[in-house]
Amino acid sequence: MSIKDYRYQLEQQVAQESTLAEAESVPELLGAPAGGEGDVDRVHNLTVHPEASPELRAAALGRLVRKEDPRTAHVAPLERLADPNEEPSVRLAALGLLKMLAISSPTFSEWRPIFLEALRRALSEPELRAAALEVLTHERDRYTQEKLLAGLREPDQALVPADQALRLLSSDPHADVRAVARSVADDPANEAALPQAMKILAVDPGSVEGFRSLLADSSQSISVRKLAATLLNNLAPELLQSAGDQWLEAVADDESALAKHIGTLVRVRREPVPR
Amino acid sequence: MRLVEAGRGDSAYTQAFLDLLDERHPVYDGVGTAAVVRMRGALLLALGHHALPTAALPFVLEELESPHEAWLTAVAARVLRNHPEPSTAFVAPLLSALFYIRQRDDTVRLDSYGGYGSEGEPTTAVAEVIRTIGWLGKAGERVLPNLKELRAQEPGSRTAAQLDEAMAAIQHDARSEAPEYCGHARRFGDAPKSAPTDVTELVLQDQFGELLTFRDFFIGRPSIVVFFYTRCDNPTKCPLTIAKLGRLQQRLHSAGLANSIRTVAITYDPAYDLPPRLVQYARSWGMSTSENHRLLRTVGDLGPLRAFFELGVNYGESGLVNRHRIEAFVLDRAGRIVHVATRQRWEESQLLEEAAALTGEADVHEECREREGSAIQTTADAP
Repeated sequence: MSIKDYRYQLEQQVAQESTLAEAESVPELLGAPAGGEGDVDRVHNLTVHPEASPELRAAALGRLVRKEDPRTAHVAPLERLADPNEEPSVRLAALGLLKMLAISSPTFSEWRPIFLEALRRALSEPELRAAALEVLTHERDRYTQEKLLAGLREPDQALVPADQALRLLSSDPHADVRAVARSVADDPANEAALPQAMKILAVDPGSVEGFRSLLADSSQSISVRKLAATLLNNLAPELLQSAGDQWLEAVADDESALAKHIGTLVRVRREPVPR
Repeated sequence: MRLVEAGRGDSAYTQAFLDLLDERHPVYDGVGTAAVVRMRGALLLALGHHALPTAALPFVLEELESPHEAWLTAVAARVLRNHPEPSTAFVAPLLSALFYIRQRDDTVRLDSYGGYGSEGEPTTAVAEVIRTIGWLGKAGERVLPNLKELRAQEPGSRTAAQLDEAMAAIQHDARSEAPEYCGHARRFGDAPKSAPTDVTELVLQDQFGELLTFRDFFIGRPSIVVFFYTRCDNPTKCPLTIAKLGRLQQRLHSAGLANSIRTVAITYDPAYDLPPRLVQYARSWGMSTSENHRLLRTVGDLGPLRAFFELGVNYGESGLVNRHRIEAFVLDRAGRIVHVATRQRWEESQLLEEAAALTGEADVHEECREREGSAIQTTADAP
């Protein structure tokens, strides 16, 4: 989980606590008095209460997870996530909680299979898809990778746009995405797809020529050409040298362009490969 | 795969299926990693449909010892239970499977091609492995302390129940003696029998960029050779191979053999594994480098070395390794392969002993035996 995600989760928790505080004044929803041993049961009841709003049930789920035994805290959110009849907003809240529990739960290895299964089912729900895909591809889920690849080959089957699919697949070199990335690089479906395809090809020694021609192609945007230079520097630094020389030669008469290009090359040679 | 369907459980197809499990088989050329997983799982299921033939054990135990894909691990554990007899030799691979696959476990269906789908009952790799440990019965007695330790860690109620069941099965097995699987004790194989490819002038590059020929490095002293690639994502294969080679180097040093026996790790992925990556990989996994101990890549095609060592590796359409086995070799002073350890994890002491015998320095044998006595045995005997 990134710092940004973590901060978002914290903000969600704060918002949920205020929602719950409002619910404290509606005892019929909670079913038992606050405090004491019945507190967990009463919050649990609220997570599935038919009269409680989705926001309130999501908030109750968050509180339940914080109060539960860490070994079993995953049970309620996992049930909510796996339930196709549940409100997408509650399932999304459950997914967020499970992402945190995947790090902290001492029994995660046991419930990982059910979690992945629930996430795969969540792919059919448009509101959950992006979040489910992030987790599944992070876990290098073979089923999901193949679904994304199928979508890149047959756009009518695509779960997400090509650039997003490529980004999700880029974290696993064994996802067999390079052939597809090459076709996308040759004929990008949208402007964002080309840089994503290039990043996948960053580790492909067979793409050196492709990067060299992108670097030399003045019809490409500066950002694409800069990326091509960075990737060329990673795969074949000696070729970047000659390509860079040609690049500089081409603008040698224009001092300001020359300075700009030199600046770019110096930066490229220092920069790590973007992921 | 129609052939696999047709021959499932039919002993007339056994050899054909075993041939198909060889990583060098053209059926794997240019195929993606996911497809390789599906093909190998289907082959193992077909081989073990009724009674798992002994000849299939190396492939089954390999999947357990180096687990990476929940479906393949579940399949291997499941078909092992169709071997006519449990054996103590299965204990270590099963334990390895239990230890490693827990972090990558998944819901799989053994009756669905590839493990996903709706056919058959859902299961998990961990559930299948624990069930197979229970099937060992008396042969699994040695594993009881490990199971108890795992149980004490409160792994979750379902796993705990499965562990209880397995422990009870082992403790209540009425057989008096653990059946032995004799054909499984030989880990080392002989050198390849085919005519060797001439690689003496093959140009290699080491981790610092130095160019040298095969003759330069391999002629004159015995050497221990392992294969790896830096993009391998199975922690029980390439990272472990390099870490073990690092430990072996320490033993060579302690035995005063660091200058008599060379060690080398050669990459399967020479186009990507450029010198800086080789240096970094050695540092990451604890392998030392010096004049006699290097990481190498072929400057051109790996083909000649692949043929010379008969490497169990294949490549996907994009040129990335789609499957490889674990393999280590001992070469004599003339650069000839004299011992081969493939498929299952090699033991440092065995490789060391084999190489030391080629130096003519007998004292290392005693050093090896002493260390072996105190070594933690984590792997089973392999053929």
